[in-house]
Formats: sequence, C-alpha cells, structure tokens
Amino acid sequence: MTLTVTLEGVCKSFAGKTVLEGVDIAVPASSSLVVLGGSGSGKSVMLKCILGLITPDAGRILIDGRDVAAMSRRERAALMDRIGMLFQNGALFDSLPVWENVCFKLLAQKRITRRGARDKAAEVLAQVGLAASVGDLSPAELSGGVQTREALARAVAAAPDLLFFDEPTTGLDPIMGAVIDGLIVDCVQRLGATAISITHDMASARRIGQRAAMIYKGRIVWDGPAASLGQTGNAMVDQFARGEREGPIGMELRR
Amino acid sequence: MVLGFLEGLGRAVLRACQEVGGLALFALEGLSHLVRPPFHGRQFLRHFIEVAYFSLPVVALTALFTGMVLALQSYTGFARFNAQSAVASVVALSVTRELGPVLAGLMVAGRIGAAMAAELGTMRVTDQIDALTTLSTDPMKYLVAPRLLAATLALPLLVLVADIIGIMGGYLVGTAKLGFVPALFLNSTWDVLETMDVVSGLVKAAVFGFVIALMGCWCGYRSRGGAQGVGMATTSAVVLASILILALDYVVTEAFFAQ
Repeated sequence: MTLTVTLEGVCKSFAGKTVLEGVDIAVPASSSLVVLGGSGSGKSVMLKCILGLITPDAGRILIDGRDVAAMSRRERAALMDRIGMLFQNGALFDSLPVWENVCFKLLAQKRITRRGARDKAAEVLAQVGLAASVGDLSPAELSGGVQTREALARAVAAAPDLLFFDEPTTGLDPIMGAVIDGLIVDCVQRLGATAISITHDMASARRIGQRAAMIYKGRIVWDGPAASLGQTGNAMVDQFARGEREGPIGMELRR
Repeated sequence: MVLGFLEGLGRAVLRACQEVGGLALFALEGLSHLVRPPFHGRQFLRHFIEVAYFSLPVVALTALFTGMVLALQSYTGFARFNAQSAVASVVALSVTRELGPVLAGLMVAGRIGAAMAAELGTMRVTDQIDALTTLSTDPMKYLVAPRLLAATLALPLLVLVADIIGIMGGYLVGTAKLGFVPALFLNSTWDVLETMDVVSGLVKAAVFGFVIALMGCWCGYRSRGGAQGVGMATTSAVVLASILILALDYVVTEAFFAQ
C-alpha cells in the first residue's frame, strides 16, 4: 500500500536564517512529484524534514495521514522500513562492497541471509542495468553513473512504498542522466510507489515527474503538471525552467 | 566594557556546559546501545581487529624503546646513589602502572581516534550517516556502539602486550649493556610486581580505550563543512583524547593508589 505525504505550514530556520517559510503541499498516493528550485532554496531541507532527519520549527508533516513528529520511535522505525531514498552523489558506504550496500536494509531488518543477499543484489542490480559482477566491487571503483545506479538499486531493494530522490542526475552527463531518469520511472512504476524528487534539472523533472512544484525562498510558489514546465504562465517558474537570466528571479537577486 | 567581558565569559561557560552535556548524552546513548539488541557483531569485530591487531606494531615498538630508555636512564640516575639494583623494579613498576597504558593510549589516540573521526566525519559530510537512518539502521548503534566496545576491550590487551615488551626492552638493555645477570633481573622484576600494578594499568587502558573511541566518534559524528570540517574533527579528536588520557591517568592513579 503506497503512502500519501502532506506538508502543512512547515517552517525551518538555521541560526536565524529562514530556509522554509510555511511550506504547504500534498502528494497523493502512487503519484510522482518533482520539487524544483535553485541552490539554497530549501529543497534538500524540505526532504530531510519529511524523512525526520531534521525537525521542523513549525508546521506538520503527515505521512499516510499521521503526524511524523507525534510518532513513537518504534512507529517511526516502522515507517522508515517503507521508505527508500536516493541521496545526491549516492551516499554509498565505502567500507562495504556493492552487494552489501544494495541489500543493506534487507540485512539490517534480517529479512534475508548474507548468502541470499548476494543473489538478491544481483537481481536488483540487473533491474538497474548492472551486471552481477559489479556486486563484488567497492563503490569507490565505480564511475559516477554506475554509483547512482547502485544507489538507486539500494533505494528500491526493499520494495518501499515511498521513494525520495535527491538530485539524482547531478554530476552526470545528459545521456547517463536520461538513463537514470528512465530507471527511476521504471522502478517507481514497478513498485507502484509514491515518489518525491528534488532537482534543478528541467529535462529530468519533465521525465520523472507527473506533477511539479517550485520552491523559492522557502515557499512553494507554483504547483502544476510537470509537462507544462516552461509554459506555466508563472513568470518565475518559466524563467527558471528556461534558464533565462532576465526575469523576476534575477531581478530579486540584483536587489 | 566590564559588562561586555562578563557577557563573553558567560557565553563561553554556557557553551562549555552545552558541549560537556552533549558529550555526556552522546556517551550515554552509545553505551545504551551496547545492552539493547540488535547488535552489530561484524562491526564490533572489524573495529576490534583494527584497534587490537593493527595497532600492535606501533604499540610494541613504543613499549620496547620506552623500556630500553627507562632502564638506561634509571641506571645512570640510580648510580649516583649506588642504587643500580633497583633498575629492574623501576622498569617493571613504571611500565605496568604508568608508561604502558599512557603511551599505548597516546599512540592509539593518534592512530585509531584520528581514523574514527575521519571516517565518521566523511560519512557525515557525504550523507552516509543520514543514509543509514533511511536504511532502518540507527547510526549510534551501527557506528558508535561497536567502536566504543571494541576500543574499550582492545586497549587492555594491547597494554598487556606492551607491558611484557616494555619489560623485555629493559631486560635487554639491563643484561646486554648494563651487566645485570639475566636471572637476577627477571627475579627482581617478578618479586616487585603485584597484581594491583598490572590490574591498575589494564583498568587505565580500558578507560583510555573508551575515551579514544568516544572522542573519535563524537568529533567525527558532529563534523560539518566538507574536507576542512573533517580535518578539524580529526585534529580535535586526537587533541581532546590525548588531554583526557593524561587527566584521567591522574584520576585513576589516585583511585588505585591514594593513601
């Protein structure tokens, strides 16, 4: 069963600097939302708030209708079991081989033996287009694109109901970016999961999102179909989507 | 001006209290995971081998040369009072009670404390610690608790070896250079040593091992800001662990041998 995610007036500041200023957004079950925004706009902080890695100063985060902040440690752990996350640059564990990285969650939950984990890792690696032999390598031996695929394999190995993708195509060439996007869409569809991605790569946003929202100065300033990016009628979003220097975002930066 | 000075002083004191409180809570949380399942035996084993086995050459060489220098220094010093016969006793007591645990602690702080801080610091700045949380694994349980236990148990073993090698160093210099009769040197050593001398050194070692791992984990776990942050965490871990080792050495010695 997939999960819904709702943010109601979420605020977060660090050392007096406001990063999120009343974020409201709802993500229905089995839908895919892409959150756009420039560097430092609060995208990653929003994601970490949803994951419970950062506690918001104000507002509520509801997953499947339940307030994350009000959950007990055990309930939060149970929720985490249903979540998969692909971190920017992978965040793979250097001290473990690829197969152990991929099956880390299954091993931690004792849902699989170490021997079984090797077979499972080979199966999941195949789903992201990697050979089983990659499983025996160390993450440091892999290229950026292969590391991202491995991180994707790790995120989906435990068949989560809710998936997060933090800048999945950052640092990859356009072709590899398209490959990763295709794999993300395949994985999300296969699992029937709810997905929230954050990116500032427009091509990626159109490929992986059904819906898109733009965060600017800690607020959601637009929310609509991802396919309409660039022709939304919202000057700020269209400027960002087209990557134009002139526009309301530039004007505000110059002030 | 006076108010400004007091304000700054108050802020510094509050910050120090906050740091000490944070460290205490961090240590308690780490320790609490040692008695609450699940346990990460593989992680414990990995760090135990890292501390106990791979630190052995460094600690052994330190102990060997310390014992040798101690025999030489005490011989030349005691010769002024015609007390050269006390060399074996001084080497044995100094190594087991004091130099073995302290020097092993300092060497391990430089080697293991720095490595722990660098590894955890890198994991922090590359989101690997956050990744653990999303993979249903408590980072304190997986990263900190095994390191605390491994260092606490491994350092006494290292110090036991260091004690033997340190005394052997003194024996080598005493018999080969200073003209002691081998059997008499060993008999003097054996006669002067009491169980408490060795036990106090091993207790110190366990305390130092815990402190080294605690400072390594604490500094690494909280590091921020990329490579520079990791570098600062590593330096802090070694400096703080070294200072604490010397301070706690006095505290434990006082506890064991105060009249």
